Amino acid sequence: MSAPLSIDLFCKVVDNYGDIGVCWRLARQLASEHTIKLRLIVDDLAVFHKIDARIDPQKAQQDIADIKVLHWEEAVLAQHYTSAGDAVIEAFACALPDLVIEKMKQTQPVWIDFEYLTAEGWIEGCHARPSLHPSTGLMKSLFFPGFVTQSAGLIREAGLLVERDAFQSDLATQAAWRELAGLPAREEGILDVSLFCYPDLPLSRFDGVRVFVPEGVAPGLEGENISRFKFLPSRDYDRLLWTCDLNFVRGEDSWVRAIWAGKPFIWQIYKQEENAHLVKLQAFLDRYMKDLDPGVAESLAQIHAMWNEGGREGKIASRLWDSFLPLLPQLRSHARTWSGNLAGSDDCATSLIRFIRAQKN
Amino acid sequence: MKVAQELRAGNVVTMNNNLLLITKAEFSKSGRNSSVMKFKFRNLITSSPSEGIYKADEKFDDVQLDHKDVTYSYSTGEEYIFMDADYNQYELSGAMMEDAVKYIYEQMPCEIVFYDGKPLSIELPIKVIHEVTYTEPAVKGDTSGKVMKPATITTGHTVSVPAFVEIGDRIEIDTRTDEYTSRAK
Repeated sequence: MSAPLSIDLFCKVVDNYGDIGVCWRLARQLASEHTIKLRLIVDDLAVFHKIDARIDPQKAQQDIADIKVLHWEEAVLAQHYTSAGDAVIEAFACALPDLVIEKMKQTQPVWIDFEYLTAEGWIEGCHARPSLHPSTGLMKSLFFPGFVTQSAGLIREAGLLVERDAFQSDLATQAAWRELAGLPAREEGILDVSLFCYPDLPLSRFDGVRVFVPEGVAPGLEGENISRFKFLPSRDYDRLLWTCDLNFVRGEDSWVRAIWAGKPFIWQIYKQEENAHLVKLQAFLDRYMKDLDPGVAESLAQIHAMWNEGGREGKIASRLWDSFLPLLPQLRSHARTWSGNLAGSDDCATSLIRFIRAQKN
Repeated sequence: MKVAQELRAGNVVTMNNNLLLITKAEFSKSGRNSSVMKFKFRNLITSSPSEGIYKADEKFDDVQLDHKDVTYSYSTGEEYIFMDADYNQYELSGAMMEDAVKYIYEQMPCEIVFYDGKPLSIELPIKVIHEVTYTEPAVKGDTSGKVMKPATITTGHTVSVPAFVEIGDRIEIDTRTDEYTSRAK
C-alpha cells in the first residue's frame, strides 16, 4: 500500500466564489477518497465561510472534514508552515509566498500550477509536463482540467452519477427535497429552469417556464414565474441541477456540476479582455455539439452566443428562446450520454494523485 | 530579466547555472487560464535538448548576446551561409537553423546571434512574406477567414491559410507561431 501523501493546496479568492469553490471541492474529494494529509491555505476566510458555514473566519488554523485549513497570512504561515508537503498545488496561478518557496527548496516537493478548466486543444501539449522553474531551480508542472485524455479530466466525486440517477428516478425523493429547499413542487407539463448567472443578465423574460434563482442573483428579474431560494450548499445545488429541466450556470464550478447533472444547460463564461473567453466557449461548444443533430447544435450555439455576447433584445431574444425550448428532449438525451461518456475517464483528483505519485517515484 | 512571453527562438536564458538557447518558442493564449509559452532549449554547454512549459508572465534571466545583421546567401546542404555588410561569411549548421529553414530564402535579411564570438543561431523577422506555390482552389463566397486549408509556400513549407487564398498570392506569416496573418499587398 502506498504511503500517505501530504498535499498543500494554496488558493487566493480573486472574485466571486469560483476559485475557492473549486479548491474546496477538490480538497474534500482528495481528503475523503484518497489517503491524503491535506492542508488548504486560503487568503479570504470570510468568503470561504459563505460557501461552507463550518469555516470560522476568525481562526488562523482549523480542521474541517479531515482537512487542515490555514489562513494565508504571513504571520500564520511563519508559525504553522514549517515544512512543505509532498506536493504543493498553486491554484489558478495564485503565486506562492517566498516563505513557502524557501521551504520547498529544502524538500523539493512536486510543484503543480493547477489551472482553470478548458476544452481548448493546445493544453494537450502543455498538461503535466515538469519544467525547470527559472528562478528557484525546482521542477514545476502546469496541470489542466479538461475534456481529453491528455488532461486532468473533470472534478467528479466517486458515486456521483449513481447518486444522481437514484435521485432523478425517484420522484418522491425529488418532491421531498424541493419542499425542504423551499421550491415549488413539480407540475405536469411545466418546465423548471435554474438560473445562476453574472450580473449582466442577457435575457429579461423567461416565457413558458418557471425559473428558480438564488437570492442576490439577477436582482432585477421579477415575475410570477420567478422563485427565489436561499444560497444552497453544494450538495443541494447538485440536486437543484438534477431536478430542473434546464440549467443556466456560470464560471467553472457550476458549469462542471451542470455537465454531471446530465441535463441541458446554458453556460455563461467568465468574461475576459479582448473577448478571449469566446475562444474558450467555442472550443467547448465544438466538443459538446460534435454528435448533436446540426439543427439542434445551431440553436444551442445561438442561445450561447446570446447569453455570452451581450444579449439580444425584444423579438430576437424571444424568438431564439421559443425555438430553443422544444429542443430540450433531444438536448437532455445528449447531455446524459455526454456525461456518461466523460465519466469513463479519470476524474481530476485521481489524475492529480497519479501524477504526484509518479513524480515522487 | 524578461518574461516568457517576450522570449523567442534565438534568445538565451540561464537556469540552474546552465546556459539554455531557446530553439523554439510557442505561445498559447487562453480564456481565463494563464497564457502559456512552450519552449525547446539546447544547453550551450552540454548540447543536450530539453523542453519547458511556462506561464507567459514567468520571469527569466536572459543573457545578452551579440547580434549581427546579415543576409542569407546559400546552403551547401549541410551548412547555411550568411554574409554581413562587410562581406564576412558565417556558417550555421542545420541543427542551429531549427525552424528558420521553413521560411528562409536567398537575400533574406536576418540576424545571427553570437555568444562568446561564435554563431549560435539565427533570428528571423517576426513577419515574413512568401508566395503561395500551391493550394486547393479558393472557395467562392467564403471571405470569413474561418475556414482554413493547407498552402505550400516557396520554401516548400506548408502553412494553414484561409480558404480564399489562391496560388500566386503573397501571404504574411508570423515566424513565432507559424501562422498565416494576412495577405500581403
